[in-house]
Amino acid sequence: MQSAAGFGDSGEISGVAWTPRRSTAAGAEPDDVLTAAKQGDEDAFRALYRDLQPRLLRYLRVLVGADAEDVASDTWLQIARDLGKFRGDVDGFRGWATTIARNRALDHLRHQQRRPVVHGTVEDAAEPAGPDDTAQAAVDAVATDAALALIAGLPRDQAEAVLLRVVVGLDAKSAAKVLGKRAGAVRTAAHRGLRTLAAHLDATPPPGRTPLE
Amino acid sequence: MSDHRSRRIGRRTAERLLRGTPGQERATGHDRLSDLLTAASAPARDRELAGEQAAMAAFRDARLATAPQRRRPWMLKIALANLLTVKIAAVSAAAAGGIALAAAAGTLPGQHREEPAPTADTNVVATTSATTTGKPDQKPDHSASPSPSLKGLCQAYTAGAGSEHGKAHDNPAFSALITAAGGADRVPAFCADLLGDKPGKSDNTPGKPATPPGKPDDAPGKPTRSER
Repeated sequence: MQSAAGFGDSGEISGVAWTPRRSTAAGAEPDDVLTAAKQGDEDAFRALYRDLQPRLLRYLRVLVGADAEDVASDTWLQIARDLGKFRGDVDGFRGWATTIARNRALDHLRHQQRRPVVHGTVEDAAEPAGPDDTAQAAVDAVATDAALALIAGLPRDQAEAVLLRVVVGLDAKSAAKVLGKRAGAVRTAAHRGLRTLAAHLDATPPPGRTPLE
Repeated sequence: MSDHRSRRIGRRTAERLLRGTPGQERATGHDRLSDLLTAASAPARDRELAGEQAAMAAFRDARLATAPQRRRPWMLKIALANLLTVKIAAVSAAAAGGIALAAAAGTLPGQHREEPAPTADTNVVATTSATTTGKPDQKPDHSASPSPSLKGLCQAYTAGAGSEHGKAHDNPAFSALITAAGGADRVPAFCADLLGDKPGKSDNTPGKPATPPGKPDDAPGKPTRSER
């Protein structure tokens, strides 16, 4: 997903995500929102948070499992503290913030002296729904969790590449920067990940109803 | 659904899936994979934003931390003034103390130029030791030191007078001054006398006349320069 979609298309982020009704965020260019946040505008920072936090959290969940929320809040502490020093546009910001999140996650794992969460195989996909209100939300939640669990079942480099591109919304170059690899390597890893997922889906009979319809 | 065709994904198709341009996934012929990726990047759920208040609090804290001078500028001014006062007092008192000690050791002619530039810590120590110990062999101290020392202290004291006298009284650097004046409450009058007179003329000051005025006047000036 391109960053512009995440920022500009409010209809896509229904209800819970930032709604562009405030003066600072309404119809503002993403870069303007970033600039406002850097100058101390709270609504702008909130908009950045609401856009980025779910993405980071899903990425972190694959890296550190149940500790994702803790790592995410540490990440936001650092983002809030260092935002004034950040130089770049909103795409750069997303990559920068993701790098912070990843470093925090790796620190966390190092501290715990264990390897990243191993999610067994892609077969363990089905997860219980969260305590969401409506039936549709429950279905969506299951779909999202199931999808993330499937991606988490990939080899780590493929999982990270796919998540950074699809969920966080980075392009190949930014994702490579976050991972400290060459863009070509990250692109290859992401493509392999997709093929693995597709092969798995092919081998699994489709469910009674497709996740999103 | 055309799942059977999804086994092989070309580079272009893969890129399109990764970019996730809405509407285009359908055309790739990989519906289930496309649905999976769409689900993975689905809109935020409430519980995913549970940390929003904490993040906003962190943002506010960070803002306050980066702009402290906006909060209480005059407090900062006073703090700076106090710091300067103490520094001047310590340095000028120590200069005198240093000379006093040098004189006591009999090394004054050769070394008096290096003496006034020790660090602030040793300055204060030198001051207190020189003034509080009233031993016989330190008697030369008294005749040699008070003039520049008290003058410097008075200047420091008067400079800090605008802000807080209470603090100056507590400061060990001023103990010599208070002693010389005969009490904390007499310091202002004492200093007014001392600073009002030309150096070397106020013969009523105890222990003062022994030192020629030119040299001691240099002493307080030197440390002030080194402080910049």
